[in-house]
Amino acid sequence: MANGTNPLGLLDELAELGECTITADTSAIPSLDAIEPDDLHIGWTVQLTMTQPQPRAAIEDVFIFVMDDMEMVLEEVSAPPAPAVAATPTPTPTPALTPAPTSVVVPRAEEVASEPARAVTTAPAIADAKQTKPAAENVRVPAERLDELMDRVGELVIAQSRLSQLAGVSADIQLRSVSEDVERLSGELRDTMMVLRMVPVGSLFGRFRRLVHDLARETGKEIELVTEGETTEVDKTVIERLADPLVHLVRNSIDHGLEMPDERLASGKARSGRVTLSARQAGGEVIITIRDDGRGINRERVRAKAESSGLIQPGQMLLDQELLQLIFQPGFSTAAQITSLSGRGVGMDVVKKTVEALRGVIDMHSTPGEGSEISLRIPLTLAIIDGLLVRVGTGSYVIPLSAVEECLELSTEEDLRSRGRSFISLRDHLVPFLRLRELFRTGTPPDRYQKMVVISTGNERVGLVVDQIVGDHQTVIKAMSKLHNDVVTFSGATILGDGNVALILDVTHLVAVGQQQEAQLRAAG
Amino acid sequence: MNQHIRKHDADLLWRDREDVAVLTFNLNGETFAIEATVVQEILDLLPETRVPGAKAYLSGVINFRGKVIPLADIRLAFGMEAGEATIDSRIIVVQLDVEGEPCLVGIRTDKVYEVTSLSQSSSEPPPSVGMRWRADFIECLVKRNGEFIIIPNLKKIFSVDASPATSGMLFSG
Repeated sequence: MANGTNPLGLLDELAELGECTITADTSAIPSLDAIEPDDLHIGWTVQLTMTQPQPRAAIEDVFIFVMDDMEMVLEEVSAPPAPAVAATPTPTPTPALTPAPTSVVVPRAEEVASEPARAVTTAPAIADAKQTKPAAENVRVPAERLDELMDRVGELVIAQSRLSQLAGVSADIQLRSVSEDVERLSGELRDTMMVLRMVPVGSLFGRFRRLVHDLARETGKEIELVTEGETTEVDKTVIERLADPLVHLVRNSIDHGLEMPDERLASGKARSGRVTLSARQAGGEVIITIRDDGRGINRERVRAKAESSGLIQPGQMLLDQELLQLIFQPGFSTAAQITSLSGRGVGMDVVKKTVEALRGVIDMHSTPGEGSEISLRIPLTLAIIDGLLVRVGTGSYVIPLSAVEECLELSTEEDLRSRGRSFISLRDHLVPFLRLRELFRTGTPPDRYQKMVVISTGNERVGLVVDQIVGDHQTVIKAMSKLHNDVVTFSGATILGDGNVALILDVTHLVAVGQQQEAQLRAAG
Repeated sequence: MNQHIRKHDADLLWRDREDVAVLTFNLNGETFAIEATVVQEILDLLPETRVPGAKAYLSGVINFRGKVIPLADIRLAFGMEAGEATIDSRIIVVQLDVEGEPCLVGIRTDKVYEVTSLSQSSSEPPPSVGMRWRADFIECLVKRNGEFIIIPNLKKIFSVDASPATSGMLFSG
């Protein structure tokens, strides 16, 4: 009831499915002074005799809008003393494909204090087990208090790294051992803190059930939404900011991707289109994939549109990926007509911007006739990154470790030889490089032994020449001031152990700026 | 005279008040003043981190109590010469409203004098000629004890799209 469901309505709908016996279980009602008006204290046992060929699907339909917050247990109660089958919350249908009397058991979901219906029947042992499961104790905390705590932990980590720097140069053994303890504790505190802010992606995916339901009615298409990996956990702010882009991508898949039922049958596919939303964790990133089995992206139409709007030259050779990336251009739409869903040309560029703002990457694959797949790779958290601390001239900079592939020394001969051309051969591959000293105009002479950090941006590898590699550094990201919005080469700043500020390089933008600068040099020369 | 003051800017400063408390400071021998209520703190010089590619008058950031805030040299925004740091140099941290969000900025000064009160009746708009500096970055001039105190228009100087003449784009050329 706390989530806005009326259990009586659900019971009525169940009753419409067949001959049914409903028994109320009132044993859990607390005394009047302890009663929570929003909570549900009554469980119901529903025994249904059904004649439909798909009893489970029919019952699931009744619970469709509360499905995300519950576990459903259906038990087949056959007339002969056959063993009762308990289908625990797997989406596979129960073996009860033949018309058989079926009973519904809806146990109390762990997270949700109020469950719309709890029904118990012929298997009291199972039901009892569910009842006695202790409800998880939750505390609701305003998000801003968590943010405050996060800030404090961040400052603690900074103070701690100052301490360990001091202890490192001191000969005092006791100080060192205290410093090590503090280091371990603050590390653990930070890890705990990160987990506090994590929420399962399922809370985000849950919203799409309704959306897909509505879109199916609006477009007349038959759509099946499959979600995978709902338990994958992501930072709360990331989830909030991903909601709109995901809505847009799902709409796109349904509107542009999926065909009408007849068309699908004609091309030998199942009548209803399938949209899969999946999430999985890979290292420090979460990968969210939206996959459909529709018609795929029509390259010809993308090309025609891009040529007519002047984005590319007619007949220009493009790699398939480059062509697909065109749809992220502002104002780009291949929809022949504007529908209420799409075709207005705003959207994909906003999706791309949002994902990039989250330091994420969009990958796209599409096979004509078989469907499209868009993957968003997003870092798990926005607050802390692992970085490589480097020195260029007198300034310290942090390169996100996720982008770093390897570090090597740029020997003097190699450096001299590469005057005029800025690339070296690394294991038979050409790797272009940027001299950060020149890019940042430090005005200092190069160190005798310059180092090169090879980073990867998407499918490109670029070397960054720095004066010194200081080491790896766990970094609490501080946002740059709005007044520095025009400086795109840095995504943020961090405070080093000695209190100085180091800037965090935004490698994608840095490489783009480097390319621009070289183009200008070529034009000038 | 004060009816000639550009109404919009003058309203921001005086808000129908006759007297306003300001903090006065020195830049290249000129006396400047900013409203005392926006001042958060006055600091000794801190180690500054240069931000390559930023506008010349916003070329660095400092660590202000665990926050990373830009350090501005408004001399450069006006087109004045940059000065050397001296024993009297201080940073004034002010809180400004940038696109509706509060934003802390450190302003580099040669010397900080005092908190004093200026009256609207002795203020004048910047003259259209005879100024070495960009007139649109000056809110008004206030006469006091025979000298003029310059009240800079911080809102305009630190608006995101401000592009002063001296904006030093690092990556150009």
